[in-house]
Amino acid sequence: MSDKSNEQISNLMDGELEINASKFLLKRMASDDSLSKTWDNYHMIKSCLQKEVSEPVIDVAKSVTQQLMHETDGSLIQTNHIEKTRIHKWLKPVMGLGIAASVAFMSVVMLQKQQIKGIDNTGMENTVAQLEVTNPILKTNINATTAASDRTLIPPPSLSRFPSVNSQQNGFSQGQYYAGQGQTPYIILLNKTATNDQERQLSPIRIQDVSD
Amino acid sequence: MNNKQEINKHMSEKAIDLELVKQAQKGDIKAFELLVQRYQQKVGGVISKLIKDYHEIQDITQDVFIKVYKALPKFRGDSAFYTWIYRIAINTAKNHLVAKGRRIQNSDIEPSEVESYAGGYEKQNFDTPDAEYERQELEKAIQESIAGLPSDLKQAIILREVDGLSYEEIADKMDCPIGTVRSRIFRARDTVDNAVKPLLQKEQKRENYVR
Repeated sequence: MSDKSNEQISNLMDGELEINASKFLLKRMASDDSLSKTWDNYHMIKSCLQKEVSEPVIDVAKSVTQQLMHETDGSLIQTNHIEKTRIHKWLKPVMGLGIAASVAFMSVVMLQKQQIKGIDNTGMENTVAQLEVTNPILKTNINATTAASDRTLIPPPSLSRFPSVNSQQNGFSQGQYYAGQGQTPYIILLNKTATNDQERQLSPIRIQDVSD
Repeated sequence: MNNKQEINKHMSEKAIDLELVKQAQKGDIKAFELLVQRYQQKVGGVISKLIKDYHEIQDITQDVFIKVYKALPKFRGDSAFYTWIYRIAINTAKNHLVAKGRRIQNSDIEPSEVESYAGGYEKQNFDTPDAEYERQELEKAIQESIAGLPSDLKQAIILREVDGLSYEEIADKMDCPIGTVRSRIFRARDTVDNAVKPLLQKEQKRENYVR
């Protein structure tokens, strides 16, 4: 097998091997060190016979290959670095834009919250003196009503998983919660006697009768 | 007629070079290594016409092939590959001499002239006597091994390598089929290869140690 391959190498270097066999052998030699060594030695013998060399050059091919492989690795690393730099160049403005958009969004949300809070503090605090929620679902004990009208404002049902926990204990008031949701935080309750249709229609929010 | 058809089916030496160049241009360093192995002795021989120190010859030969690899994308195959390498080899050797501050006696040397150029330098060999002796031994072993070949193998290899005849011409001259010529040339090479292998291994170990 080895002799056959070596004979093919001998034929190949003299241009005496068929094209397909030549191509196949060249590929084999590129991956088989013993075959490429034979190819190397046969060429050295040829050069010595042709008096091309005064002293044979030894192992230059291996050194060249090692150096090229080393340089190729280096260029690969360099290429990767260039790619990274390119990505950074592309990413920088996008990241800047993202940060700017986030800051803008946050400031809009904060502004909205503050506006709603302002309304709560001025409008609602004047009308509601004290609210105490005992039952989150309509079982509300109201201790204060508006002086001007017989409307009563009570907080909406608690969304807490633990209805017995006071809304203040939840860490934020339900008013703040609904402000965040873009809803009016209180429900207008009407006394049975004071209820009229006009009031109901004018009210932009849900009107609920509280009857015993 | 049959012989002509047979020749057409073979991959010529130029086609082999082009095939390897094509692979090397795609980044196949191993294919390039085969090209280096094919031409390193010739390139070393060309450089030795201008530079006499063995280690300088080795280093410049290496530089030449690095330059050749880097210039491969420019090679279109208009000229023979070895002509192209020779040009690079001579320029590299000349630049080396200029850098070292040595005079180039024959600055208009052409690749075609290099092989017959005897140069004007005294031999400057800075090798140890052992190293020089080993390389001389290697060359001597090749010559002795050829001399010791059976006459049919010796005749076939000399007609091919020294006289430069084709296999067809050798077959005519030796009055035997081309297949026999192929076999005789291979057996001659194989015998010489086996004879010099131990010396080559010794030399390679020494070179690796020096580097």
